[in-house]
Amino acid sequence: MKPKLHVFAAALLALAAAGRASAQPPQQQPEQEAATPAEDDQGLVVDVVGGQADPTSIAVPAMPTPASASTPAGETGALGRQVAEVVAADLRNSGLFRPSGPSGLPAVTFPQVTAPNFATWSGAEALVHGFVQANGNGTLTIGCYLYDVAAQRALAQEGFTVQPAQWRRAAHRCADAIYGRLTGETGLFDSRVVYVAESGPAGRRIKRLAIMDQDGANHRFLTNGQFTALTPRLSPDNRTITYMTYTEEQPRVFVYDLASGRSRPLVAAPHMTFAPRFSPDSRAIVFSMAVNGNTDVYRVSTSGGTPQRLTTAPGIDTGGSFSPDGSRIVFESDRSGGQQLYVMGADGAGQRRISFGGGRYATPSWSPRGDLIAFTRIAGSFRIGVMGVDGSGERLLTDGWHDEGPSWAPNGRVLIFFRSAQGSGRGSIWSVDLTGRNERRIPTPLDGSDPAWSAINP
Amino acid sequence: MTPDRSEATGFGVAIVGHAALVAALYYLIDPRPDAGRAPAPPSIEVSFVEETGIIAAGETAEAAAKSVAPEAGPPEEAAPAEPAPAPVPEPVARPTPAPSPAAPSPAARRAAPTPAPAQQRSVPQPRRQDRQAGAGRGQANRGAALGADLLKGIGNDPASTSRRAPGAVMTSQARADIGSLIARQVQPCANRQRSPGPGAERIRVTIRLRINGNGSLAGQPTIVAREGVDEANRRYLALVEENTINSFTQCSPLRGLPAELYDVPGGWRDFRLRYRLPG
Repeated sequence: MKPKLHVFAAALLALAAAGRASAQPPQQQPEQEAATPAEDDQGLVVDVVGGQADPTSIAVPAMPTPASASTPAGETGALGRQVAEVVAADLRNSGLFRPSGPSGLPAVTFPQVTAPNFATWSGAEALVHGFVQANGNGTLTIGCYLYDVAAQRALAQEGFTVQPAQWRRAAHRCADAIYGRLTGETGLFDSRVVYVAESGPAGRRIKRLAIMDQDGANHRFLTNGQFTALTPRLSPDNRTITYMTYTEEQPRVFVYDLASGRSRPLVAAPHMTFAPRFSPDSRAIVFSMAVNGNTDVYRVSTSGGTPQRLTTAPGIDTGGSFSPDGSRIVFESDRSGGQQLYVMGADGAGQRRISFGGGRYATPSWSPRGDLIAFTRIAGSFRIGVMGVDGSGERLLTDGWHDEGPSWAPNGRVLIFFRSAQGSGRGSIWSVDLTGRNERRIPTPLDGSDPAWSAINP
Repeated sequence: MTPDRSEATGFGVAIVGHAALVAALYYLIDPRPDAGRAPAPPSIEVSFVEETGIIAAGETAEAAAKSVAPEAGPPEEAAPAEPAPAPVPEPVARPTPAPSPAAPSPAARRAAPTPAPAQQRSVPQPRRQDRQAGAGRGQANRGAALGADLLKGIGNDPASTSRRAPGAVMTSQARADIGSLIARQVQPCANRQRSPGPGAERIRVTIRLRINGNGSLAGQPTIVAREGVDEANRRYLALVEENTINSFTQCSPLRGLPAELYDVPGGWRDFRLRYRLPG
């Protein structure tokens, strides 16, 4: 009987519990109420999507001088106009600005440099003011101010004290400050380009090393053309150039000291060496060397010594380029049957392929930002492209017949490359924005190839 | 087999015990609302309306009700101490210079009209519900829509002089419509902003805007959220933040918003603007 009583009592409890449950309000209700206040906490939220990629209009009038003075670079008032011209040209060449001036713009008085008459500049979104002042010690001070015309407020101001001969650098620095403030990028105008200047008839081309400011100014030749020079690269410290030249009909890598103008072989080995590039700290050079019919990537100190072999696969491994932190190297290899891009550690470990598209990939160059690798894609034509460091997101930026050899601007936003004309094969230097827009030819006195952009001048 | 005396006694005790147990369970688990628990919330009537425009619910009220519930908002939400009742401010239609996104000039702030309609401060009369909800302790009711002042304003006392539209409620539809109105006004200025570079379109910035009753900014916009920022586009973040602020300031003051939904919970007195570049 006892077990039966227990079952009875349990049944009663179950019935009572069931009745209780059915009499209760839904348990979800408090949760729903809790959700409502959360929405109210958020309140009114307005979503807006908008923007454009059109160039920013910016007025760059001539820069006044507080007192006219004669300097080795010219009269300070005239320099004020020239500085404005350089600033306007830099901004225009970037493709991100639509500058006006200094020609055709009203004169600016010295007091107005720091207190602009904004009503005068209402047609522009941004305004550049500045001044050129001769100092008692023979230097120049060049002031640079950026204003938001609509908001009537200053956005940036910088001053540069330079020797009169360096006034263009101050102008480039002013342009960099403006460019940086309005785009979020670091500067690129106070930099140089080394390249191969070509002249003479086909078959007997003279190829000399040349260097110039990024805008083509201050051009000069570094070699006399007695020996053909190719693939020059500037060291990140801007002191040295490494390049390949033919001596005794064999390609060899040399190192050129910009201060002394002297060259020396990178390594003493009797083998063919080519495709050199500096490490980010300028202390090492990665290059290719052909030994017994096999070309591999090597690394050696910039001062020379015994090279360290980084690749061992049969075939041609070449075109090494360091990542900006120096920990990895991208290179090209035909080990899979055609030229493709590979990434490995700086010591050669962990080699893996990152390009898998049709055609061939060559001349890889790791972005100074570290996030992209530029390359030449060879599939019918030669085009410049970029991809992620894992090979993802490949984009082609140019559509020329023969575009080759990309090199990054110091801010990683622009690429420089050379374009060979169909038929004549004559080369010219071009740049293109990372967006693929603003493809622009860089003026050179002779034909040009193999450009390499320097770091920002120290 | 005749049960002996002890068995009969035990059987009787068992019957009595079970009867007591049933009675106890019945009273213990009684679902009636008056059995020592909080009463169930009263049911509400739900009806669907066809009107979907920006019309405050209180606009159709025939009589303004006297506020009887305690103020729940912070001091900044209280009515300005003006001796004479001011007319209900209409949205200012005349354009004013776009204030600086970083710091509106003091003159502009001084020139700004009274931010909120005059509002009669009611005498707090704490009630049982107030204590339960924590009201009456100076806490702003920023959470539940059905807060301690749920009954505030309900009534038919025509003597009320409250400038807040009586019973005005920011419904979901009104919220969407006001959001659309603001977005339409801001859009031309958003379109003027520049894309600084590839990847910037992944960034979304949210700013909080406090608005005067005439649609002008009542204070400096504050950035409350940044989304989609990665290593590749971090360099553009500051510019996208500027774009966000400029999108509003260059197209302010706001116009044509319903005054009765200015100073209500979720009203356009204080809202968020979320901006990103196209792409």
